[in-house]
Amino acid sequence: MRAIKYMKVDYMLTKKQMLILPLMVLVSVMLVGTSRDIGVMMGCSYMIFVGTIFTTAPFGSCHIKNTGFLLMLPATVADRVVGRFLYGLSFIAMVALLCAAGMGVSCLFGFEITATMMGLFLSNLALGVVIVALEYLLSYMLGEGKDNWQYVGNLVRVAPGMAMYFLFMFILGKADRETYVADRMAFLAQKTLYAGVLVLAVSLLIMAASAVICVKVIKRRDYV
Amino acid sequence: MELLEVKNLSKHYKAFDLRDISFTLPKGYIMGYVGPNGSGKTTTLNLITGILKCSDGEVYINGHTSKEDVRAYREQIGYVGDESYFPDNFTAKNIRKVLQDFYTTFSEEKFNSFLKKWNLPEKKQVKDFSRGMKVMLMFASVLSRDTKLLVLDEATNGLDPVMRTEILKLLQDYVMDGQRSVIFSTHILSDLEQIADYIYFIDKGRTILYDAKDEIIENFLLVKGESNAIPPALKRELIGLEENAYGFEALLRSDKAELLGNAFLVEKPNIDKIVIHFIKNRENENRI
Repeated sequence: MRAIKYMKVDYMLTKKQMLILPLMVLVSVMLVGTSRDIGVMMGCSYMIFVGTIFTTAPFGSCHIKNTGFLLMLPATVADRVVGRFLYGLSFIAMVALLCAAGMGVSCLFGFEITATMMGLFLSNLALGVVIVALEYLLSYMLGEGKDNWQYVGNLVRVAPGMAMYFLFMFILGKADRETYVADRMAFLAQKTLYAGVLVLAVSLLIMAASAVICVKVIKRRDYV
Repeated sequence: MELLEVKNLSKHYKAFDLRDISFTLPKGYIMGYVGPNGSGKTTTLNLITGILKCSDGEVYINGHTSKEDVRAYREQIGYVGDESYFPDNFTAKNIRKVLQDFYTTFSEEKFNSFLKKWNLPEKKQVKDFSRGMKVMLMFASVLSRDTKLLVLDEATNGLDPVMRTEILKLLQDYVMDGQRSVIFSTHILSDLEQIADYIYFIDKGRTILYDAKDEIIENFLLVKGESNAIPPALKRELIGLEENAYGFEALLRSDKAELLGNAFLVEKPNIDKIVIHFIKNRENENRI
């Protein structure tokens, strides 16, 4: 229960970024328009990339000196860490819902969402969840709000998500232009959706494992 | 009945050791925790609040440690530091929401009345508050719930005399019901003179003095006179001997008063003088 309260605190800490979220949605809508075949997936992939950046924002939102109030709240380390992971998951879930809504609207405009595309989307989402899980782990190991976060933090927040985005752009581009990849995807089409669901489930397990390790990391360090 | 009990508290760092800090603070009393910069005051207070983990020892509040039930332990503590400990982008409104969510004894009515009394804006971000406003907001956040122990770390530093006086009055009111206590670290020793019942003095992580304030004042004499008139037997007993062109000033334990004779001026020291001479004493020892 207190973990949910901590999640609410993280939304308070990062409320400013919610204001620029519509701008990111707009960019992804513009990406949809660039290609009839893979535009929807490009838009979704961009939103997942944005999600991986936004979900790590609470770590950089305040310096350790200004976190005493939050660290001293009557709660356990596990409450705090789980709250942060719930924030990350809920944000990714919100991104997934926005993507789903985007796909729905795209279908109304005549775009086709194939099983392969859905499988790719779920795999992209799963990779996003894994990236967030690893970023959280790294952030807790570095020490949230500490000065070293300032130097490494931006790289940690942006680089993995960006790499993921370009990887999916590459795969989608290949699927669009080179038929052999598309053929291979078509061959896998029936299985892709199931594989995507499975990969997503595995990614959530990785997220849970990361949360458990983060609690242990904090319990072993010098300060709460 | 003891409200706060600190037993053999130690914290080891590469360059600093806090060693074997032990004291008790009964309900209804105020303790001044004093020492020079870098003596270990903030470390001790952070160990009490549980922000830092101790290397050895235990802290009990109302007989319970944070290991037993961290939530109940923290519900009892109110902390006010020398700098704002709120996230910079929080407003008083955000803080109220968080307090409401986490603390079972939080009173919204009390919090709002403090905001009104101290003219603290609800929608302005904490980073735009003046230092005084930040301190008062911290006080509003701790006094609007039923804490048992107030931990103040240099909370009155840099405040104007009117605000400081108001805070000292607040602290006295806080312990008035005999159920709550305050541990208060400050450089402004005149504040302690006014409100502290106990003094704990540390330097370089070690205990120098710990007793009831009045006992400490009773136990020492402030001696002044001409340097060349100090007999060797007396010189050995003087604490923090400070000599200049006009003579000397030092502390002497009251039970050694018979060494004085009639050649010196003897006064009752205040806490400020006692602390200064003990620090001077350590400097003199280090020089030797």
